[in-house]
Amino acid sequence: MRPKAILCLLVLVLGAYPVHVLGARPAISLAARLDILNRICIDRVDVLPPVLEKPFKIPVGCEVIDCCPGCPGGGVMEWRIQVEAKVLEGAELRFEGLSAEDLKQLRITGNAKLEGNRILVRRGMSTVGGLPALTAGTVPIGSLTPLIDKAAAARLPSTQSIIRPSPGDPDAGGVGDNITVQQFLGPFRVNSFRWRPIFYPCIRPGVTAGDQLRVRAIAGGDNVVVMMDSRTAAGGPGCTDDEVLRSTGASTFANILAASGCNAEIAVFATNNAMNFDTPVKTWTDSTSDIHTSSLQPIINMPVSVWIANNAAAVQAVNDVANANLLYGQNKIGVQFTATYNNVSGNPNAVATIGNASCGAVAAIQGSAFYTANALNIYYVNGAFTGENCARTVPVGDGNVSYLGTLANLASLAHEIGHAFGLRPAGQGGHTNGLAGFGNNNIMWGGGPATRDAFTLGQAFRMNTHTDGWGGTMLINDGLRPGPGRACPPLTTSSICPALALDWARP
Amino acid sequence: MDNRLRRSSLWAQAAYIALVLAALAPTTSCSRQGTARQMTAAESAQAVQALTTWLECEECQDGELAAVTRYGQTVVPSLIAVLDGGPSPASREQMRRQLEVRYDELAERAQRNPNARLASSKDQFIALYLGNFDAQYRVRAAQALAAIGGQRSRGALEAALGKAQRGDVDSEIRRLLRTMK
Repeated sequence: MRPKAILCLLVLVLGAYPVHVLGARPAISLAARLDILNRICIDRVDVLPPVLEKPFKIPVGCEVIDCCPGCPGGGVMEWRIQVEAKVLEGAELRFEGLSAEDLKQLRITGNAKLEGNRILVRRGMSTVGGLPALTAGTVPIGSLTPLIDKAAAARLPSTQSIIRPSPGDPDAGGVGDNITVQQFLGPFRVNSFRWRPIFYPCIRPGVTAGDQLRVRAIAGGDNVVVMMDSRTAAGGPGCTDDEVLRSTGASTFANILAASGCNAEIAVFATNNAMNFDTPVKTWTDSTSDIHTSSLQPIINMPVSVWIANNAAAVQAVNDVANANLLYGQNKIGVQFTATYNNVSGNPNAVATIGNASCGAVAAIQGSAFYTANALNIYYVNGAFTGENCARTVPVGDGNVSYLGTLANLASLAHEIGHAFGLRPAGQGGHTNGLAGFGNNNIMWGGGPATRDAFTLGQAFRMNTHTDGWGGTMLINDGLRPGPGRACPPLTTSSICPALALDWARP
Repeated sequence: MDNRLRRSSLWAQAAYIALVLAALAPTTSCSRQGTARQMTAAESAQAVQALTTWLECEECQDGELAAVTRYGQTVVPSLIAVLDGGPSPASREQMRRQLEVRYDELAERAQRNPNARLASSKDQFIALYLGNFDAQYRVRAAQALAAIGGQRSRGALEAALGKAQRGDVDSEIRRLLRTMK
């Protein structure tokens, strides 16, 4: 036997051992394909927010086309459903594409039971077996609607503010529940879904006298989000950071004290106004009846020059901008994008200057006619990639430049603008993959569903204020917000930098 | 320990390290010959996660491709299936439904905000982004196959040439075949 053949034989023998024995691959925790994290406030238990009334649609079947390496492929699936909940009492599960007769054939165990054409799933572990991955050529869809334990929801502490005593726990004060649906083909896990709602109350107890925050010029009757640092008690621990509350114009506090060494500032986030940042706030004194007024400015119109170097992307570019406007509005970033579309796909000089490689010609385009100063410049090119912001490109970087390729998904543009606004570097919190307090419905997740739709408050703050060596947020760089800004890299949490995962409860 | 014993011990250690390294290298000449071992269910689930993370990553600067290629020939059949078929029926259906919901939201907003206008009907919108989703899967599968290498990967890429419904997928396969070792 030749030495190479002996080596190959030994490799195969070694290969038969589990990889963890060999130490080849570190154990990784398995994330869900859809991992949705929602922070939700419940005002009245008889009027639930929309997210609790829309069912989650979960297709029966594998997440990759051959199901998984080494598994049998096709066949009948089993769903393992885990409900770990205090506010939810369970979920209602219905299947589109399965007849009543099909439903009766399902093997249901644990804390689930069939009631008519629905399956009620209670807290704990349940399984639903015998699910066909395809019926008559269509994919059966599970519709999972959460069920609220109204008594538990009513017990949520009655305070509107979410005070976070520890910067390491931005969700302190909330009640976190969890529903997971894992799909199995025999022993192989082939798909998964997780929903992590964190529940907060919406209502703040009335304080009849004290200090007051007035928010003026709120556009469109918005319920704005206020993030406040102040001194709320005497002594060292009296500094309160990152109190999050809602306001439609006036909020009253028992007594906010003079800062005396504490950070005192107020940031207001609105759907139809620019983010307002008062720092430092010197209004508060040790006596009551202080009034601080935050006057909001109109929403920032961010000019966007869209350069269509690939004519096939002309329609997509318009849709992408519309989607970015929707998401930045819903998350109260305080900016809207006013786009100018330049179709240069028929101009050989433009196509050559811009190129097809992601961030491949930043210096050349900066000196060309295909670049608008003090604006976001988005280049749709004929390259097989999704997108990239060029703030950190070497040797020449420019946060105002982003490339979108032919594989760009619906969220790519909104994601790249997040980088342009300072959420960077990707590997240091610019991407939120696997970070505590984030699901893959966060827009800065580096992948995930194309319909991801969430920015946290910690991200919104940075997008408006961040400074760094790559130009910081383009909102300041382009003169649309006053500087000098603040250096709060995504993973830095301090008395002046809120945790990246700090958020407000919707709606 | 005398010198002979110490030398033989060092040789044994070196041989063992060489064997372990050979076993762990996914692109050894052995793996290129198409040898793949069976995965456990847990390993398979990890491999699926690595695959989908790579297939769907946005800028892919966090080692997503390396997390796939480390599995070597074991994941080549899955990658070939993706190259030939794109996303799974379940993933495609999930995406389609999510796009439907988002379109409705966008259309509602477009009525109130001129900056939020859409350029597509609902059907066009869904077809456009589903098409990109499909192309992304096929391109990423091709890139992973090229990175893993071997006759099977090359054969699959050659077989896929000209069958792709989109020019960007076809161009990428051609480029990969030119640069593949």
